[in-house]
Amino acid sequence: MSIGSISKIDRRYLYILLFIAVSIPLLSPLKLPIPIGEHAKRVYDLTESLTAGDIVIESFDFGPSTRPENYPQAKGHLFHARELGLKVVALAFWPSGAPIGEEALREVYGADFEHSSEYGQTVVYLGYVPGNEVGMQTFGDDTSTAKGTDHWGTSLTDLPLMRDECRSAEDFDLWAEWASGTPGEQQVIQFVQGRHGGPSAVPIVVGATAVSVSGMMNFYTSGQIYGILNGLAGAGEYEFMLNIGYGYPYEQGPSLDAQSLGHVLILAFIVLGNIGYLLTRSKGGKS
Amino acid sequence: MLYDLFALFFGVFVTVFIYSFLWKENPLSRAVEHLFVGWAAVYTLATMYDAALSQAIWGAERIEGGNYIWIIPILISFMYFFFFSKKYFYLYRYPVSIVVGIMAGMMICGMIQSNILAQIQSTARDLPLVGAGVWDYVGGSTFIQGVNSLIFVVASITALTFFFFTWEHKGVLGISTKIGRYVLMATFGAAYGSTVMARISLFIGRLRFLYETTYTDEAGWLVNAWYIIPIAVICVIIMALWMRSRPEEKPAEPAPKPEKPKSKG
Amino acid sequence: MSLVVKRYIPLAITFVMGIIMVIATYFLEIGSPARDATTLLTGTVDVIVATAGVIGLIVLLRHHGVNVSRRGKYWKYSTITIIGVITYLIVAVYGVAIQGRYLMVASEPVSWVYNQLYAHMDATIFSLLAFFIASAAYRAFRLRSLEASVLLLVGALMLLGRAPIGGVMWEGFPNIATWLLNVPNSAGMRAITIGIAIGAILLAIRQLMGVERGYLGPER
Repeated sequence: MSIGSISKIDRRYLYILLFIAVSIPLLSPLKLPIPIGEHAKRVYDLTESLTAGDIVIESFDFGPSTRPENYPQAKGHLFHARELGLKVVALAFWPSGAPIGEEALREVYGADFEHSSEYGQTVVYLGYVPGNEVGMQTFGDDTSTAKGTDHWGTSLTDLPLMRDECRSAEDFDLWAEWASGTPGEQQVIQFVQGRHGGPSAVPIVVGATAVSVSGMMNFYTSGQIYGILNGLAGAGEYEFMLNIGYGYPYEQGPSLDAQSLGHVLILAFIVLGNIGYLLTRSKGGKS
Repeated sequence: MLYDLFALFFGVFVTVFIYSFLWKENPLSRAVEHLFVGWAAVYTLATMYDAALSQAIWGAERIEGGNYIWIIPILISFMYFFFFSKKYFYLYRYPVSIVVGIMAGMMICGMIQSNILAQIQSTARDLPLVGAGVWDYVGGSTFIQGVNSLIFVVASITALTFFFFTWEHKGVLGISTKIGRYVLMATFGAAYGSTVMARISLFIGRLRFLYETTYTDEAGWLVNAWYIIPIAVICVIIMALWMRSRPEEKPAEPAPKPEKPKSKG
Repeated sequence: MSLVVKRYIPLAITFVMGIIMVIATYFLEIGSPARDATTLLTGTVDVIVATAGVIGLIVLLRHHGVNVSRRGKYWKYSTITIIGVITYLIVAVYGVAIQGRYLMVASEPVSWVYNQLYAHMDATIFSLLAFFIASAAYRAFRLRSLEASVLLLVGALMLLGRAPIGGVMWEGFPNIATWLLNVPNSAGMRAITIGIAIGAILLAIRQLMGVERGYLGPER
């Protein structure tokens, strides 16, 4: 292989290598041990610290394009909330999040949960709440003004949890934001937490796509976000902790193995590209 | 149900067709992209329609409940259709102005508290141990937390000075902006690593769909997505062979320019 | 007179709406009737945006319709777009018709098409980015300067630290990645966040003052 060819590999061969590298662990898992990060641990510990009967807002603000990262995060936390006896008010400020939220609730609370006895008492699903950040602000000020019915058209006045207990942000004990864009965690901070007493009054935990986590770290260190599930890795860490504590199935292992090989391959591409560049430069050629 | 089987076939086919774009753009990938655009437009409209109905019409405090003042926003929004009028085009600016004014007002209110005051407060309030409560979690001695805190404060301030364009970056400011530049490079490096992680996660999600999705009917007949992938790949190969067999399209010749009329005299 | 109607009244509307929102947030108590009245304004935004969506769909159909009628470039694909729009619109109207007052998006036919058919296209198109990032990592990520090296080093440490294989190679990688996120990245993002917020507020003030008029569109 000549110097010139190192820096001129057809991109389609790179695509094939990536495809193979990511596929192998999915078909034959490597079972790599998963280190639990501080950010996911804080989400777990804050949720554990809540007492039975505390109200958790689960906001499904993502679409099918980021489902591989956000869905396992949201479903795991929903399971955790149910196990602890927390009261869950689930909703979505993204229209595409509404069917995904419904699916997660059915998987955790049962296929027919909206007709169960606990619906309206310990769990309510509002579905899509329109208005984006304006809707968030309105929901924080008065939950019944933001949307008068649940996802299936039942008036909130017929649901004891919404009628008597969850009236505004003053009643929220935790806001779990599963976000992949706008409106997302920043809008919850601006239009809900900031208006109703700050982080101590409305603590927020976030499950986000990895691409947006680096941008929200300043909110984390300022305390406005208490904990973060960082993409697929964060989902895997949370599932792992739930698996140890509650026997929750740990399903993200193969995905994290695939992610590991993908990362190693990207690093290899960077090294290869720079070797070609440095060799070309040292020979006096144009890069 | 057959619907689910159809959905499985559709999902595998569009996935393979879109990935065929990576090899070379072809009619199948382009067709799926155009279908995607059409459906995305309708779904976006459907969500906006729902938002409008929920805000203005349904509910005890809206038109349905007798609160007819909500007819005003609907009438104002109809002014948007003057976008297509040549004579009264300017009337479409009225609803746009309302939206821009309201959103600008909300932006001012929301941004000041959460993105400026809270950020500055958390940097200054807990000195010397900035981030106290966060780094307590990691453990380690107060010395390590203090070092982290010092690095954090210095990095924040120097990165902020990088955006001071009122004065020339010389002397102390020059040193500060130089340090700030490296801080920002570290920030972008972390963002790059996170971006790679996110994108590969999306690809993993699609592969898990292709490798793990199954359909089982009432009779117990099982269809794996695996079985459908070769059929989709064969379609792509047939398309590639057809493209190769076609003569290359010559670019259309430009229309001849009309002759200039000869000037008299 | 025409300039007043075409330009100055819209600018005045922008100013008044913005000032009302600022006053309502800072000077009116949450729960007071005056503050609740601002929901009329914020609801107006949703209604207007819905009409804008209709406009957008009409423009899309017009663009592709003209392309089909004139047999322009890729007119056959424009046909696919138009057929897609019409079929999904029919499904949406059918969904509302069979479910009465349900939201269009929550109706079963629309929801099924979205989750079972559209979602695959959306997710796959998004996942193409993984390949482009791999290609960019090979072609564009170069050690041209010290600053680029810092960026590359931090990126590499993040890639190793955020995947389990980093912890297998050396137990320090995950801790380094966490420290990079918590300290330098967070500090830099704080500066960027404050800068963006100041810029956004200034832009909003300029819009309210009538200095920024781009949203009014072209003069015809």
